[in-house]
Amino acid sequence: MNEAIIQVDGVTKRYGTLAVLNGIDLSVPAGRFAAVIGKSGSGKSTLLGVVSGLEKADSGRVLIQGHDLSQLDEPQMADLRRQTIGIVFQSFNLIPSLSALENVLLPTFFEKEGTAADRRKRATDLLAQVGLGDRMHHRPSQLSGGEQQRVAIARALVNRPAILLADEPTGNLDAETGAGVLGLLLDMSRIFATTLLIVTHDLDVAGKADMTIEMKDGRIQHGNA
Amino acid sequence: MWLNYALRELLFRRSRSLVTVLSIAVAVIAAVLLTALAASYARAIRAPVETVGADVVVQITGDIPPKLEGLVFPHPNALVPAAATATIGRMAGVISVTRGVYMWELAPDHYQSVLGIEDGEAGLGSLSSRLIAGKPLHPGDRAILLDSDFASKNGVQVGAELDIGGTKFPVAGIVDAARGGKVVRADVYMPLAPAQELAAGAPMVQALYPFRRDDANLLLVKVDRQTLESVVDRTVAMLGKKGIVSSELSFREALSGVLFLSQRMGLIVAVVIGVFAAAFVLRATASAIAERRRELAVLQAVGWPWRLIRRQVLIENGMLALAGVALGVLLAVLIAAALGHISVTLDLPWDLSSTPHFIPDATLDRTQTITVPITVPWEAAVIAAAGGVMVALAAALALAASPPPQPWSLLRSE
Repeated sequence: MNEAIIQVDGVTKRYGTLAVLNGIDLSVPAGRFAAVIGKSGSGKSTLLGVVSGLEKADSGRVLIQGHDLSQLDEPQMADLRRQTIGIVFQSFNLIPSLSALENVLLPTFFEKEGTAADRRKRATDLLAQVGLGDRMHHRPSQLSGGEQQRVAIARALVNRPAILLADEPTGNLDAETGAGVLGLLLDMSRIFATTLLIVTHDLDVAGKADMTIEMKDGRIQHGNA
Repeated sequence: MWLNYALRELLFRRSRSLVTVLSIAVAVIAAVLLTALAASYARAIRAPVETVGADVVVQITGDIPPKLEGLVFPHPNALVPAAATATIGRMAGVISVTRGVYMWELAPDHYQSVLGIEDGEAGLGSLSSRLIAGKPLHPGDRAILLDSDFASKNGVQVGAELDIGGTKFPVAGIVDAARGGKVVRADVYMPLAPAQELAAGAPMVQALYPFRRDDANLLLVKVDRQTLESVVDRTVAMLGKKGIVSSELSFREALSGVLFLSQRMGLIVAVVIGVFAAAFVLRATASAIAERRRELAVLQAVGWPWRLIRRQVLIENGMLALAGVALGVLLAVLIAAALGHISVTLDLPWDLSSTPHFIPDATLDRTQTITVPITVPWEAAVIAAAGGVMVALAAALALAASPPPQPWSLLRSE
């Protein structure tokens, strides 16, 4: 088995008096596709937030490629996210004032290696790969939901991250579009040899995963690999 | 991309951008225009004294002669002691002291005012600049210049002779009365020496004062403007209650209502508008940041460190501030050009250009209307511009000081 690229040890998280994560232990090996399933309020999305470093755990530790997130300051955390983690959201979260291409370029903004032209080529190639080669200068408002999620996938992958986190990526899409987007997500993570941790309530999606983590009331109910 | 992204963002949120730009522009317009008006009023109140080439006119109140006949000193023009003249000349900030002798000549059939004045910028030099006919006077001359109104009223021309105190003086030239203003205005001007001789020999002068051939009863003082107030204060303190020390400060007091509006009130209004504008900018920035909380969280999610996100907000506010400042200065310049000028009518005190009350013909209209162009003070524009930019940047810095504690809550699905 590959070494764990995501390691979660005894993580807890409370919102006020509500315990959302109750001592989560999780290990995802590099290159694997893991699906977190569970009902609404089970804590699966919060778990993804903690793994991304955008949500702080109250206790326990999260290691990403061996880096303990609690030991990183804000700039180091930003560096880690930019270089190692790509995130795809349920509601796409594109910047509305920017074009699809500019949205994809956002994570490359501070890259010191390569030229601006290289970065732009990488972004345009990615947009072409997700089927938006002819719509890269459109704004999000000019794109359909499925197209926006494709832009979001391209943005998440533009820095070739080792980890791709997806939070209900098909939740805002109709079934057909959702299936297309999911297929793209899986294909792209395979092409880029990315570890994929996806939060979903869709059991069909979970069925395609290498490992499934079922959550209930902030605990891992069941996990298989 | 910094600027490109900032520009896109500002255009995307047009209404909010417009509110911020207009808030800054209004504050800049107010600050610049009110300062321009205040500067114009300040120039206007300087004008009466400045027209004689001085900043301060010093006189001493005296007595009324036993008989009002021949050459007499008006009662605001008592002998100024030579020691006082010397003391004023030594005061810090005093550039020059020009002595003068101001007299009335009273006769049953005529009246004329006479001013003998030293050479210099505030004396004969000032007269030369107003010459409209003939030639200027020089210190050694025993000739006179006539006020144009006086000359035309009495039908006297250059080359004629005029009797003053029993001595005939040739008329060397005519000076433009209107351009000379009304402060220390006389019908007849001559170099100081012959005027001193006439005064020293005048019985009704000697009846009151031991006036000698090197004395004076009027001083025109030019000062470094920074020290005007202190020179005036020290002169007033030295001369006591009988001293008459006139300067723009006297007009400032006389016009306290107008000047309160133009200076203090202008400052207050500018500050109030500035505070409101700052509040608008702060509110607009706060709203923009609140609206964009999710967007800023996205930037965090794609790996932007907060200091660079804050820089982005700073750039956006800086661009808005520059647009607001540019618009404000442009509109202020256009409004100032459209207004053109201000006109101020001043009531000159009798002391500054005394005429005998009892001779109706000698009555002088002592109101002086001064028209001053409104010009944009660039120092004020620069300060207002810097203020506008600083407010906008401070608002961005204050409101984007630290990252939101839990950005995931803005981005998550559940």
